[in-house]
Amino acid sequence: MAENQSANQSTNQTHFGFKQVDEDQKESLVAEVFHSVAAKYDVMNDVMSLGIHRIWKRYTIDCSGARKGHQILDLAGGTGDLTAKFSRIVGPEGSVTLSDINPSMLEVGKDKLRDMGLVDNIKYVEANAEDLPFPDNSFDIVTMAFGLRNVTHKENALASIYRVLKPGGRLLVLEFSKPTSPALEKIYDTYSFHLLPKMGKLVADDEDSYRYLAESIRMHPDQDTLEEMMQVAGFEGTSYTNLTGGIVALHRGFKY
Amino acid sequence: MPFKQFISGIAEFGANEVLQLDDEHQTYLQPLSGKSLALTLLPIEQTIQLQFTDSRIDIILPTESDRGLNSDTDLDNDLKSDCHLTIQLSAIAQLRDSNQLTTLIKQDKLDIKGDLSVAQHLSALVNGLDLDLTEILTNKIGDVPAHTIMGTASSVINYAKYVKQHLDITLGEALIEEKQLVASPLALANFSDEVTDTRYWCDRLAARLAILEKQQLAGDK
Repeated sequence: MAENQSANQSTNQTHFGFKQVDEDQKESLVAEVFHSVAAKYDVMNDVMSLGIHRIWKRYTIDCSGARKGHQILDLAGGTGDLTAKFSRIVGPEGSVTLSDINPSMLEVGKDKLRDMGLVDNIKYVEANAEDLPFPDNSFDIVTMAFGLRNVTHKENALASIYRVLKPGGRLLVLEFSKPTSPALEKIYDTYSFHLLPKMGKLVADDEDSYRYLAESIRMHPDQDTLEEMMQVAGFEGTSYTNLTGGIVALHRGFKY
Repeated sequence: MPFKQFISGIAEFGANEVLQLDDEHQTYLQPLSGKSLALTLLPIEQTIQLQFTDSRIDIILPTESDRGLNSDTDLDNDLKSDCHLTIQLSAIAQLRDSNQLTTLIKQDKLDIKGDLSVAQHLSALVNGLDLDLTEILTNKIGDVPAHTIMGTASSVINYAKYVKQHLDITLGEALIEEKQLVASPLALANFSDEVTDTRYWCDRLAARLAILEKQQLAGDK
């Protein structure tokens, strides 16, 4: 996988789902997908994962060690599921920055959080994870839930996150990964490539976007590769936990 | 699927739904707003962190791994809760009564670190919730259906209690009288008396033997 990526980089090509596209095209293509699904993103997440994504996110929060006064960056935070809970945990002394490259997703997140009465300690920043517009050593915790696989140069994003983390801070990456059992992998493949696009068509009237989501999951590095990438970026004490048989994995790393 | 997070999610949802049922819940939550309370349950050693705002409660399950590389650090320091209760699972129901706190501490069933007022306010919240199910249902579905549902529920509960009582008696009789697998309370008391008598006679015999041995030793000299 790493070899493929470096080969792709040398020819300025990268993957967009199973397709090969120019690197400078991927960002706008991904933006198009998320702009298209933004309005129904939450509903689709619940339908697609049967609500299990809430438990995966809850596990991420439990592992974050967030507490009163912390500065937290919820990167690719989309509609703000993690931000909502972090905002209540850090209280008025702390702050949560909800950041997403996609303005449509950020707008949906902003509306949702305001409707929940969460306004005081949340900042909204439209930003590219590969080049974060924050000073060095700014955050105690950075989380990225279901966002890293859409980034063109993941190694750049990890380096950028490492830069903005305070010493002692931690990164949590919640992302689709590789199922640990071949039987589960088969069921999961059937679900992703046959059922998921149809559900996308039915609920959000957008089959192509959900086909891309399924394809992008397959192109994402597996658990060990991602852990290695985090180590290369400088993270220490890295580890990962497989959730739901490895369909999703939570990677952790610290900056010391 | 992380099972503990599944349970805590349901508990959090349930707790907040119950809170919403009482219009006065914000009055009780106000003094707790912005505070956190960690509850460590013994003997399972599971810590639950409750985070309060003026409108809801969030439940967090701190994991071992969330302590980073310094896993030997004290959990209290790491949780940074305003109050940390360590309590035996068996005594958790007694927490509702704040007057019981001292008794529980004396019995080593409860240990409190940090701000005691957080625990007292939580106790006040639990006790202060006024949940009149009939009234709640009436507001949602109307007078007659609410009364019918509550009446039916009450009858079902009473019937279930009667069936349980009946089953207890039948099962007890079957085990004691028919199958004779368990001794009756009377037989148990009788056996206990016989054991006491036997011990008494054994003690008397031992004392008598001791006297006889003493006498024999005196005779030999």
